[in-house]
Parts: sequence; C-alpha cells; structure tokens
Amino acid sequence: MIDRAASPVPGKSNEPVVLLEGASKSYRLYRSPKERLLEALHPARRKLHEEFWAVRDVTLHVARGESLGLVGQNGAGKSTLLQLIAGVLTPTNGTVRVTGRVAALLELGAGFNPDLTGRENVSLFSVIVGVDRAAIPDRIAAVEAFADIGDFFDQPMRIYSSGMYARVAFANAIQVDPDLLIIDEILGVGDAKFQEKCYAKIEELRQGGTSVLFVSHSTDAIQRNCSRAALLHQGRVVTTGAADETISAYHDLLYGSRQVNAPVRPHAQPAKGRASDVEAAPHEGLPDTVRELLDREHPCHADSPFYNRYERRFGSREAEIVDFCITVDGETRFGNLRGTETLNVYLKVHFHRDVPAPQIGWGLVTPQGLVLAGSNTSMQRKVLTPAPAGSSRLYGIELRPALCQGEYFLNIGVGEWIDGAWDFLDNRRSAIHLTVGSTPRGGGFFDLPARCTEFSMEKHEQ
Amino acid sequence: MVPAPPVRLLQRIVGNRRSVVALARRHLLARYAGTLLGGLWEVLHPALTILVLWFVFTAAFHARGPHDMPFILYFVTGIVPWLLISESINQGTQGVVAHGFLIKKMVFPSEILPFVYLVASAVSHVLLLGLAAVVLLANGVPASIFWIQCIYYFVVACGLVLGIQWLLSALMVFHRDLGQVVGVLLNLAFWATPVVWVPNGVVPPRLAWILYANPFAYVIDGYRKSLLERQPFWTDWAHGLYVWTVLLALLVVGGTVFRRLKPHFADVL
Repeated sequence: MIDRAASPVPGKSNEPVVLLEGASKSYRLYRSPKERLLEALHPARRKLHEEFWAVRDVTLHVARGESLGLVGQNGAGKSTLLQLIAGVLTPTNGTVRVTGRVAALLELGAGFNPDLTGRENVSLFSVIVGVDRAAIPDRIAAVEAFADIGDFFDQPMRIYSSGMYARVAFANAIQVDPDLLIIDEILGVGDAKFQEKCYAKIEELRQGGTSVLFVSHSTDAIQRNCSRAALLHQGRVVTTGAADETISAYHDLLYGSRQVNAPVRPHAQPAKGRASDVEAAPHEGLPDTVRELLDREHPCHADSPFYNRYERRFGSREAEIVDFCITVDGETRFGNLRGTETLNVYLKVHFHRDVPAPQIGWGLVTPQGLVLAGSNTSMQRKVLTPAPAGSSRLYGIELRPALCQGEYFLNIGVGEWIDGAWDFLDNRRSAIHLTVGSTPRGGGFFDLPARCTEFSMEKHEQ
Repeated sequence: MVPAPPVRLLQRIVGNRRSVVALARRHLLARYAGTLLGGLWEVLHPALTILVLWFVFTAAFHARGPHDMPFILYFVTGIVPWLLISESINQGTQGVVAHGFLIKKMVFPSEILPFVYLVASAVSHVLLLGLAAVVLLANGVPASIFWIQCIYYFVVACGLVLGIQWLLSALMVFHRDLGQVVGVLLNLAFWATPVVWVPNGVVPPRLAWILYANPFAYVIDGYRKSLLERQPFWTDWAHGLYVWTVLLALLVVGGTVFRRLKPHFADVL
C-alpha cells in the first residue's frame, strides 16, 4: 500500500517525509517469462514462482531536511528499497508513506530516452511530472545551466558520456524543488568539480527543507553528506544511527564477515619467496622503546603523541594490533617532524587463531582521505612466518617519506592471504598522526629531489 | 471510496492528457528525426503507399469499384481508415516496451500509452482524410452532411484499437516475438478486410460470415457509406450492435490483462 500525498501538508513539518513500517518486497522468481505470464493471467491464481525477499521488514523514517545515507553490500537491497520509496515498485507487505514531491535518480537513466536530446528529455520529463506549461522553458534553461555540458545538451543522450548523463540527470532532478531527493550512486561518475557542485546544491536544498536519501559505495561521500545512515544486509536494516558508526559497522561487515564464514585453510598459499626469507630478524640492537613495547603487559600506544584517538578500526580482530610505538631516526621523539626523517613503526600483533600467511600493510593518507602511498608485505614479496593461535609477533615498518609541511595519517593493518585475496584482520585507519613543520624547500605533499641549474648561453666566454 | 477501474482509468487519462499529447508529439518527431522532410513523411509515406497500390490495381488488374465507380474512390476511402487501424496497432504493440525507460525509473501511468499511439495516428489520419476529400471532390463526388459520420466510425475504430493495444502491448513485454506475429496478422487482416477488393461476387456465400464478423470491415464499410454512398450509420444497426459488443469485450479483456500485468512491467523490462 502506497500513500502518496500530492503536496506537503503545511503546518505539519515535523512529520517525516518518508515513513516505512515493516516494508517488505519479494521478487517472484520464475523459470521463464512464460510462467510469469501464465501466473498473472491464471483464472485460479495458481502459484508458479519462488519468492526472493529483496527487502524484509524495513522500518525507517527520514525527517524533513534530513539526509540519510544507505550503505550495504551489492545485493543488500538498497536499490529495491529506493525504488519502493520512489514508488516505482509496490511493497509486498507493510507500508511506504512518502509525503510530497519525490525526485529520484535511480542508477543511470532517471527516465530518459537515449534517442532524444537532453533538452527534449528534460522537456518531456517536465510535462510528465506536471510542471506548469508556462514554467517549462525556465526550467529547461535552469537544467541546461546547471548541467553545463555545452552543445551536447542538444545532442541525443545516447552519445553522452556517463558523466554528462549524470549531469543532466542530476540537474533535472533538483529542478523540481523536491521534498525528497533520492540519489542512487549516480554522482560517482561525475568529475570532482561537478561532484562538489552537486554536494553544494544538495546542501542548499537540504537547508531549504528537502530530505535526501543517499546511496553510495563511497563511505567518504556518505560521511560528508549524511548525518544519519542505515546499514542494509540481506534486505534488512541492521544498523541505523550516526553516519560514522554505521560506516564502521559496514566495514566490519565488509572485511570481517568473510572470516566468519570461510574455513581457514590449513596450508594457505603464502606469497612467493624463498624459504630462507621466512625467518624473523633478531630484535637485539633495537631501540629501548621497542624493548619496552615487547615487555609491557598493557598497551601504551594511546599515550604516544603520534596516536590518533579518532582512528577508524575494522576487521574481524582475529589478529589484533595490540600495541605499537614509533621511532624517529632511531629515537623516541615528540613534536613536529622535519619531513625527511626515517620513521620506524613497530607493531605488536597478537594472534587469536592460526594465521598461516600473515600480512602487514600500511598507507600514508591526507586528512581528506587521499591515499598518498601504500603497500603491504604481499606486494613487496615479503613472507612472514606463520603465526599459531595465542602467539604474538613484532613487526617493524621503516618509512622515509620526505614529506612537505602539513598533516598526515598512517594506516596500519594486519591481514591474511586467503585464496589469493587479502582479508583484513585488524585495520586501523589513520591510527598514527604525523605533523610536518615548516618545509621552506618546497610545498605539496612530497619533497621531490629536484633542483634547478642555470647554464651559460655564451658560446665563447673568456 | 475507490472508484471502479473504468472510472479510475478515465480519471487518469484526463489527468495525464498533457503527457499523452507530449509523448505523441515526441513519438512523431522521433520517428522522423534526422530525415530531411521530417514530419512530412507522416503523410508522404502513406500517400505514396496508396499511390503504388492504386497504380498496381488499376494498371495491372484493371480494378473497378462497385457500380463502375472509379477504383481510386473506392480504394482511397478504404485504405485511409485501414492505415489508422493498422499503424496504431502495429506501433501501439511496442508501446510499453518502447517506454520502458519511463516505467522502470519513475512513477508512470503506463495505461495511457495506447492513447499516445492513437493520438499520433489520428494526426496523420486527419491529414490523409483531407487528402482523400480532395481526391473525392476532384472526381466529382459532392461533399455532403454524411461526411461527418466519419467521426462515428473513427470512434469505433479507436475503441477497437484501444482494447487490442492494451492486450498486445502488455503481452509484448513478456514475449517480444509478438511484435513479428502482429505484423503478419495485420497483413492477413488487410486482405481479410475489403480494402482493395470489392466483396460483391468475390466472397462465396459460405464465407460471407467472416466479412460480417470482422469488425474492421464494419469501420471500412462505414467510411465508404459516409463518404461515397451517403447512407446514415444506423441503417445497419444490427451489425453496429454486434461490433459494439466486440468493442466492449475487447476493452474489458485488454484492460483487465493490462491491469493484471502492469505490476510486473518494472520487474521484466
């Protein structure tokens, strides 16, 4: 049952724009289109299908002016849920209530005919959604200006790049002054500049009272644009809450779930390497801080000036980075870095189960999440000794990043090589915070070993 | 209170009349997109078809109309309504599939689609009818009040086509072969309807019932009655009653099938 009010009810602005109560959608799976037809027309309504519940018992609300993110793996039911809310699909059970005008950007397409030009499609769309005849030319002009694709606006949409398509689709959707804007993954294909423009526009609409439902595989985009997020798993809403908490739960699901289900192979294939490599280096001659790290019972990395309390942590935790310490040029140091130092990160990892092919990974990222550099032991063809359950290991990562002034984060992680793929056991994103002080020699991220020389142009200088 | 399905349907069509017109216009423009003559083809194409058929039948078969009437008069009054019927059925069958881009991505009242094709076909029908009137006048057939009766037969044709379109366009979603089958069936129907041939003396009496049962024959015959023979439409009221029964049955069957299949469109397209 879909209840769709024609316009928002004035004075009831506290009422949620979207309200789902126990909404479920089952797809009927037929062996052939013939059976589907037969069943739909069968006088005695004989059942010829098997049921697949794409969305199960979802209760959800979106308040006016709120932006809700939806995350979940492929096939979790996100798109079906959006289609239910958009009214393209009808729920099998439960209720879907949407108040006001909905603008939906469902995947790529959004109700466009590829044989028509952008202008014609926008015009046709305007008529179908019931825009006033007099307002249509203005609306088309506004869409054209926002999409900003030049002469392509008068070309058939089948020749558009996916980015241009997304531009027109987005511009078209926002120009109906929606009460609810549904965005399914579509902005991912636009270039960075257009994405910025879209996010700014979404924010502007939101301020004006538009609610936004946002699906993206980019958790960064969700975190930036949504205050609240819901995690879908196998058709059900598993978590609803603050965006970052939901995303952590999502990461756990993504990187932790395989461990639960997949049996551990007793002789997992380690990365290529000679047997003689598989030997831990002696820890004699390591700095005192590292000795301390080995000896101490309770983790103290939280006391380190380099530790970032706001790290994001996910993985199955079947092996854990329990403690770590950092030396700068072999010493324990505090304060800003010059950027050219040698950093040593020592990780103490405890294994809760047998891990035949442990892997260590690291990455250098900016506060905005841009990965500057990253690698892991499997990429570097370094084989680590198998770790039995209950054992602890010490790993050291040596970096000489030659950074320029600014703030940086280090991701550290322990993983496992299973069936030719990485699996995170404990991934600590942005766990280490580095601040590089003034670097007058250059700017940007890295101090490139570059120099300039002036050469004489005189042929015979005496 | 929820209104009965036919009332709801009517409300939806009236409410979406602008969409119907816009989609029909779009359909006409898209068909001739990229051609030099553009929308002119909408009339030029059938006009040339009529010319070719007329030439073949007069030059090769020395065809004559009934009562020694020039063949062109008999032919043009038959082919113009036939083209309305066949074109709108032929294209309307593709209707739902062709508008999948709307049905899948937005809340779209797909039951209006047959009207889109009717409106599109009606445009060229009116133009062709004007052309036919010129031919008639040029051959000395005087204009008469009975010409207005064409409106009645046009309504009958639309009713028949509408039911058939609902039925076929919905089934087409599940079986794309239908498009080909419809082409063949329309061809068959063309020859089973007295469009180019004169029934008098051709049809053996034991097969005459086929002609009677064919509701399209009623429409074609009706156009001729109005344009050439100046006969009021109620003289053959028994046949009219039969055709209206068929028409209503087609609307009910077609409408019901469409309504039952509609929820599946978004899943299958």
